[in-house]
Amino acid sequence: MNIYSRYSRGYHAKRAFSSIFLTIAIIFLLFFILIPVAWLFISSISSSKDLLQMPPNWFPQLPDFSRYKQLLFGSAGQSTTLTDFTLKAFRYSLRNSLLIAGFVTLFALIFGSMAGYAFARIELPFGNKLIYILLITQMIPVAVLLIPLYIMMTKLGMLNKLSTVIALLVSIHLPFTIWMLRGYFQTLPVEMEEAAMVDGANRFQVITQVTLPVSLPGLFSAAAYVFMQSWNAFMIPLIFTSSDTTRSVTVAIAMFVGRNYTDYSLMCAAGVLASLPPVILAVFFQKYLLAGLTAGAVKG
Amino acid sequence: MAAVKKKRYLTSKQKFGLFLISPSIIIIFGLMVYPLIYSLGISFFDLHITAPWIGTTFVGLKNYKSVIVDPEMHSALLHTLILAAIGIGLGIPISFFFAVILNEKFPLRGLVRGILIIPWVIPGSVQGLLWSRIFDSHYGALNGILIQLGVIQEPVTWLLNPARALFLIAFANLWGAVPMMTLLYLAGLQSIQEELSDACYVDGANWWGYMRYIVVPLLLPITLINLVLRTIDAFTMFDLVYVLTGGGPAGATQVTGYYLYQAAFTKLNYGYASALAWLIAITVTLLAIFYSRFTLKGETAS
Repeated sequence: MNIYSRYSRGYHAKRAFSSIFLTIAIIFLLFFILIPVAWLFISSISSSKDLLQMPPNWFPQLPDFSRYKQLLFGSAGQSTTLTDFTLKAFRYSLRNSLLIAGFVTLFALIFGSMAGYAFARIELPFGNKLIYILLITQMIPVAVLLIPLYIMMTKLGMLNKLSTVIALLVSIHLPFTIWMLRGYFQTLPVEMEEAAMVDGANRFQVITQVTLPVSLPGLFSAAAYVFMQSWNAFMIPLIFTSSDTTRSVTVAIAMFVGRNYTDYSLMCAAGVLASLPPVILAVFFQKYLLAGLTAGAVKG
Repeated sequence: MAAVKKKRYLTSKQKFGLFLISPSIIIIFGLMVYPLIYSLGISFFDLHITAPWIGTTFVGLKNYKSVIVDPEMHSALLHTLILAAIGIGLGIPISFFFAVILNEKFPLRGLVRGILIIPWVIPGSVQGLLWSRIFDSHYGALNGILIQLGVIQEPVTWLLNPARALFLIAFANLWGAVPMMTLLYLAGLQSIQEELSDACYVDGANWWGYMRYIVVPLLLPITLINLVLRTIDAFTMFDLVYVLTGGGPAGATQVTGYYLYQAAFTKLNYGYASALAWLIAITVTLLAIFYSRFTLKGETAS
């Protein structure tokens, strides 16, 4: 058997693996990735009875979506472990995460595209040094910054505020956003902007009407990546917020696990809800998210 | 950059540029560069947060010394190195293998790739919840599967068992890390030109030869990135440990990232924690330099 002889349904002229090996490998990959996620989802639609037996009932007879309804709209009812207060706190946390991720993305994109454009197009005094500083800040472990930031925010009376979490996450994601958008703007032909200038547009018009519209794919990649990262942020919301009304959903989930609720289905439903926005981004905007990933990982 | 060289409207253009970068520069200097310097300063002081009447005292390198001789820190470091070793030792071959598979053409390949990135985008604390439901010592799915397969008769302890907990954390961590490592390798594989493999086969090499002499060397820079990312990840590991074990049982899953958090925000020992944070940053940087020397050694010829 040499590799030239392995043809398979005409997909590929030459193949390193036999179809059987490939199929087994793909199934293994899918199992490895999906089984833990599938169990989280199945748990969320199972009854407590299904889960509190050994072995558990792997496939519930009747999928029960009532936990989702309860988490989003319902009340605690007769439950002994769950209170209306907890449910309300969870809803707050979903709203907070949406606000955090939304505003972080917005500000990171506005400031990041401004600076990225300037670094791409204009020779600035100390420009190269600033870019160098930008790269270094991207390499700093966030842990080093947390203590001074915590002291600063305590002195400023800014603890336990969503705006503080937003500002901190913007600062963390800004170097990456600038770097990525600078790279994107550099790929655009400068002649296009010069032509618009000759036609009498001012610099501001050139950016808003010529450069930004053609940069939408790059902006969208940066946005998808920053949204996902700030939705998933854990340490910063954990440290800088402490009340039920300011907590992010990632922190709320950790609290759920820590408090040892026995309503596992409810906990799992909360986990599924908390994963939905990033998973939707990953499934529907995969291309953009991955462009962000490669830019982030390779340059970072 | 051609337009930049034109001197005509340089000054006003530069002013405009400074206006554009000013918000970012203010944010980055205020919330990153200044805290960075501040943090270095704190590491040389004892702030006496729990006894504020004493005030701040300069202690020189005492905090760094305390970190280096701290036995709890030694065990955290050992656990971190085990995590890094598992992440690298298993993660790199698995993700390389997955990337080679995903580089083949097969039906629904796009969908499989979409599924692959799911663990990467699930928030760390939800990953903790997910594994807590699997590794639960009473009703966990792992116990369920093992009982159903007849491997065990009674549920066994997982995360509550000091001998097992760290390896389970390592596995959970690996699950979250493999997608990104695979995607990086996949991007690398796709950048290798097809002509190269054709030429290689024409010269009589087989698939193993092609992998060994062409693919693996060409992907060394990606291996380097993966090594560095795994190391940073092990040294700053936090979410999973926070949710799953809190460093327990009996310190069996204490790692540097979580220990740092506890030193700073539970024990409020800011000086010590800052010194620890800097030592972690320095260690990771040194390891990254070591890896790059090691992996790119053979690259200089090309």
